[in-house]
Amino acid sequence: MLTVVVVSVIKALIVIGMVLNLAGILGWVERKGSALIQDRIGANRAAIFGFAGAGLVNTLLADPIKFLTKEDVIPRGVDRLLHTLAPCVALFPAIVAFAAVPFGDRLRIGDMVVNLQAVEIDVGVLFLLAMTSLGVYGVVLGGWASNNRLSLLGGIRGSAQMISYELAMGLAVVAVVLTYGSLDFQEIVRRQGHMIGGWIPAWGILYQPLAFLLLLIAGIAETKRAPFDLPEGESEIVSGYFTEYSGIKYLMFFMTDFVEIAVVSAVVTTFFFGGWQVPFLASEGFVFPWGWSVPLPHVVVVLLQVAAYMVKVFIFCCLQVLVRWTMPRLRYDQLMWFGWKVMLPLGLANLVVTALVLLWIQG
Amino acid sequence: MPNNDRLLSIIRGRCAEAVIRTDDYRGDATVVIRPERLLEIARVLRDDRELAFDLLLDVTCVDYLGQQPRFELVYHFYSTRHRHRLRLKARVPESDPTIDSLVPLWVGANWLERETYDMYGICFRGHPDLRRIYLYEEFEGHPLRKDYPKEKRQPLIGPGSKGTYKPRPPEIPHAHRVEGMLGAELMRVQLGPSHPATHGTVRIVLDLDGETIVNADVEIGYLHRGFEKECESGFYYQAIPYTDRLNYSSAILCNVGYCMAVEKLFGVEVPLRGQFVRVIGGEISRIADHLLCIGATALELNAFTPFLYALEARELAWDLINALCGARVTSNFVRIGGVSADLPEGFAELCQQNFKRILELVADAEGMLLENPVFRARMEGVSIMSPERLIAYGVTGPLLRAAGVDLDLRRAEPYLIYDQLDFDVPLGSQGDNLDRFLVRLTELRQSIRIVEQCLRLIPPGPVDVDDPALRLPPKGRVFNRMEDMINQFKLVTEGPKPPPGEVYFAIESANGELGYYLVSDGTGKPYKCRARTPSFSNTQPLAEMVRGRLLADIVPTFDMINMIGGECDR
Amino acid sequence: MEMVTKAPGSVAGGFLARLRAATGQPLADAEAFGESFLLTKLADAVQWARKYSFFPYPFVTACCGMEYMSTAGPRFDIDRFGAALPRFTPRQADLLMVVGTITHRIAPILRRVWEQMAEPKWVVSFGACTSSGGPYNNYAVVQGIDTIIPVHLYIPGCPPRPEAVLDGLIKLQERVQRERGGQRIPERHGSGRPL
Repeated sequence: MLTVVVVSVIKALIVIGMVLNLAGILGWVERKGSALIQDRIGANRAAIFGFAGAGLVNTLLADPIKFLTKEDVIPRGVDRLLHTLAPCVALFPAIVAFAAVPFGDRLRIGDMVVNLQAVEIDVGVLFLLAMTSLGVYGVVLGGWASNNRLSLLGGIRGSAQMISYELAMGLAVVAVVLTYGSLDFQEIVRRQGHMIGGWIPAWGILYQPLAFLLLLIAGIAETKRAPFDLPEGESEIVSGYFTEYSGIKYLMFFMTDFVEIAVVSAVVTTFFFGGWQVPFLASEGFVFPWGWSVPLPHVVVVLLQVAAYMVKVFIFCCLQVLVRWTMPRLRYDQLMWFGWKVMLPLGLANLVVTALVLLWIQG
Repeated sequence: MPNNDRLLSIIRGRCAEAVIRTDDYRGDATVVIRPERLLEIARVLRDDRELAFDLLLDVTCVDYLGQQPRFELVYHFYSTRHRHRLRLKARVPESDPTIDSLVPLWVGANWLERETYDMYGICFRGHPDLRRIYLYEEFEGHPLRKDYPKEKRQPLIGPGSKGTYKPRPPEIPHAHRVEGMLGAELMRVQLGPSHPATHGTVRIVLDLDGETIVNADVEIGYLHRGFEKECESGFYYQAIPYTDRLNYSSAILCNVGYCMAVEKLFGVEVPLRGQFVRVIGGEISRIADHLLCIGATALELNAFTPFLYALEARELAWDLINALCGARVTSNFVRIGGVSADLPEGFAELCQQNFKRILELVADAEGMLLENPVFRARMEGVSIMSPERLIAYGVTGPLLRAAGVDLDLRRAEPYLIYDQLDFDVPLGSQGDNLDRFLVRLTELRQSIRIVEQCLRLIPPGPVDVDDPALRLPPKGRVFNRMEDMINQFKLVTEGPKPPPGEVYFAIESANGELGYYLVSDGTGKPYKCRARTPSFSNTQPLAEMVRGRLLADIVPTFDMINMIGGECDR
Repeated sequence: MEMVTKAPGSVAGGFLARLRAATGQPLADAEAFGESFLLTKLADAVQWARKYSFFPYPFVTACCGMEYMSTAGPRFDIDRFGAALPRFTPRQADLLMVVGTITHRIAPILRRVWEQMAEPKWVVSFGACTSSGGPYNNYAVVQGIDTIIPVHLYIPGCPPRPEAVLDGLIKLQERVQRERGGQRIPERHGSGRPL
């Protein structure tokens, strides 16, 4: 019993460490990446013992310390409880959603088998959908509690947007679930382990390319990033729902953004890019179709898989950063039009086609 | 000019009994009328086929303190069909400074008359909304009257204030509708004056029904810094730095306009090389201005990267201005009777090199924007206004050309050497924000073409007029010759003195017609120095353009109007 | 202790060598290895973080805004000093950059924005107009924003060149580092009396 608790705690710590570090690093990627795209140098002055890490120190140390020591303003006429609650409600589900996503295969230490997934639930997909839909409350509460009309507009925009795009996201997820016949993330990843014809990894993107696009776009919309960053649309409503937040609460909203990026990337990786699967890597080592094989110890295999998962997630994070710095912002009616008249019908069609194909194959 | 005689005789014929006298000074046709007949004459001016003055450029007033009647109202008209101009003047007494409002005929008279009311205390009969426009309600007096001391301040807060200032809730006079859909309550939101989209100097008060704008009111004047009062208190040449700060993103163009107006007052013309240098400087300024406008639009649609590309391109244009005069933004380059310096050595090569890079950057930014469906969707079909309505508002420049009206003063009334140059005037067809964007983008490339031509064609010779009454003698001569030393001393301490008279001169600035109206009383200081700035007239239709559209449409519309605070609020 | 601003690219000996040098050196020689913060007190660390994380609130009204943009642009890149991300809500900003002429009409709004900012906050007077009224001395223009709000740094110029702005920013960073333990260096009013 004790070992189970200890293992669970360790796994939880690993996941939370992974998420928070990833969020921090993403902050840096966003900053440095934008500098690269924009032909600038970017932060490089803040340094410890001369080590600036190309802005890493600035983003990971200076900014958070500054925020932590900044005054926390609660404006007049504000509902104190809700005002404080909102950033927590925004950040918490985003981090928790990460718990259901497996970051590796089963690790065997002696006779103990550790499933590299913080929470082993067989309805992980449902859990994820539930958690992501909780995120909308942070936005709505923040917008409502701030006693500021621009915040309110941001909150309303946010709720409408997140609920609209959740539909498309849900439909994309259902199509994936139909394909794999499972609600368990670990199971879905395992199903992507084999090779088609021995050469091509049987990743979800081959079976559900449309669902991949839908999920990625809806995911970006759910994270409220450009071109869907209307709830915080800077040139229109200043900072939207977090206009009235300062100090650590603003930092929490700020981080929610990056955690959500990580969640979207993790889900996309798990559904469509084989999660922790590495092409040609079986449980005993690399086995190539032309007959070569490289036997590897179990621990190395698991570590390679975890690393592959991290790399894949990171690539999708970078993709989202790239999108952020190249796309202008949609207008409210265009956003709704796209959500309800493009994404939703496509999602439905994809679902129907998937179901028919499955019926045809199985029947 | 011969056609001025014809114009004036037509007007005398149409309304003989209302006209007191007409004159034609330095090519400016002027009609002095009886104030009570203003509305009637204005209607004839607008509706008569042969006159067709459809553009009311400017309304202002001159305070002749000590004369009776004291205030002279001055109207400037332009006809886009016949391309002729007219100045209309009417005097009103101090005891009853009232005249009919022209708002029923030109909707653009609204702000212009509010400004005249604010600055001079003239009341306009029949004006729908006669509030102060530049100053605040707490302000007592009218600062441009000659008996208002220049430095008499009435601060709201801080030292010298009465300490009773209370912010007023935002108001919209003349609300269009008071209820939203299904009788819902409207939400009143104010954007600005300190708001990312309003460039710090405008307040837009909105009534929102959901995201739809039901009522809008644009308040300007947060950057009113007394351009006219400052200019009237200095010599003619001392006003040049203030013109820099009108449209600070294309300062040289503002310099050129002012100096040419003063030269018109003197009746001199700059030598050919000087004209070329002015065109080169002005067009580089125009490039910088258009780059900023394009970049800022991208920025506020959240496309940060193209903005920085445009910014870097502007930086390269500024390098050229820096080479010309040593300054980047407020260049103070042009002088009355010439320019401050001839082209530096190697300028043509520098231009060639920088233009190449600017075109590359612009192509990159253009690719990121115009090939992006989101950007197109945000710009296309947004804030369309008919050309007639735009003209009624007094809109000029790229904004009007995007609606398909071919009015570019470089073509319509070629000044400097523009008639010798080969360039295109881009016109839009829809008049939406995308057209405005494309017009600016094309004009930018045309400006590069103009500069390249100028650098090829520029003749040798002096850049300044050879007139000791206008230009300072070279330093070497000042130190060695008594006459030149005296001349320098006189010019600096007394300033050049033009003959008494008044002129209006306009150039095509980056945003439209930039005109200066100067009144000289024969002394070294301008009696009246009025700038007719395009941003002021161009900003006025904003409220109408965005009404009924979504909140987010304010952003590209406002950016394509390219309101420059210094120019709008003077 | 006066912090030595180190020239860019003078990282000699690498990170580990510096760390070794740091642990072997007494506190007084802290300057010898640049901006090491581990040896200074926690308060200094906080000030260090603050000075590299200025989120500016650009209160841009006029001409100086042109140069403000240039400073943020690719060529001058104020992000190098950690002051890149402009926040248009005063709650999240640390540095109020008053850029451009302040008229009597906009003065109450400026003061309100300053009041809304969360502590700790600094004010930069950017350009001649904000410092003294600049070329404008008439009925409309405030003769220096220090008559309305406290100012920590004046950047001269009409408008100042980006080089001057960056120099000003570095000077402000040095000053922030000296404000130890949350002790604010008292402000001077325009007339010489503390606010």
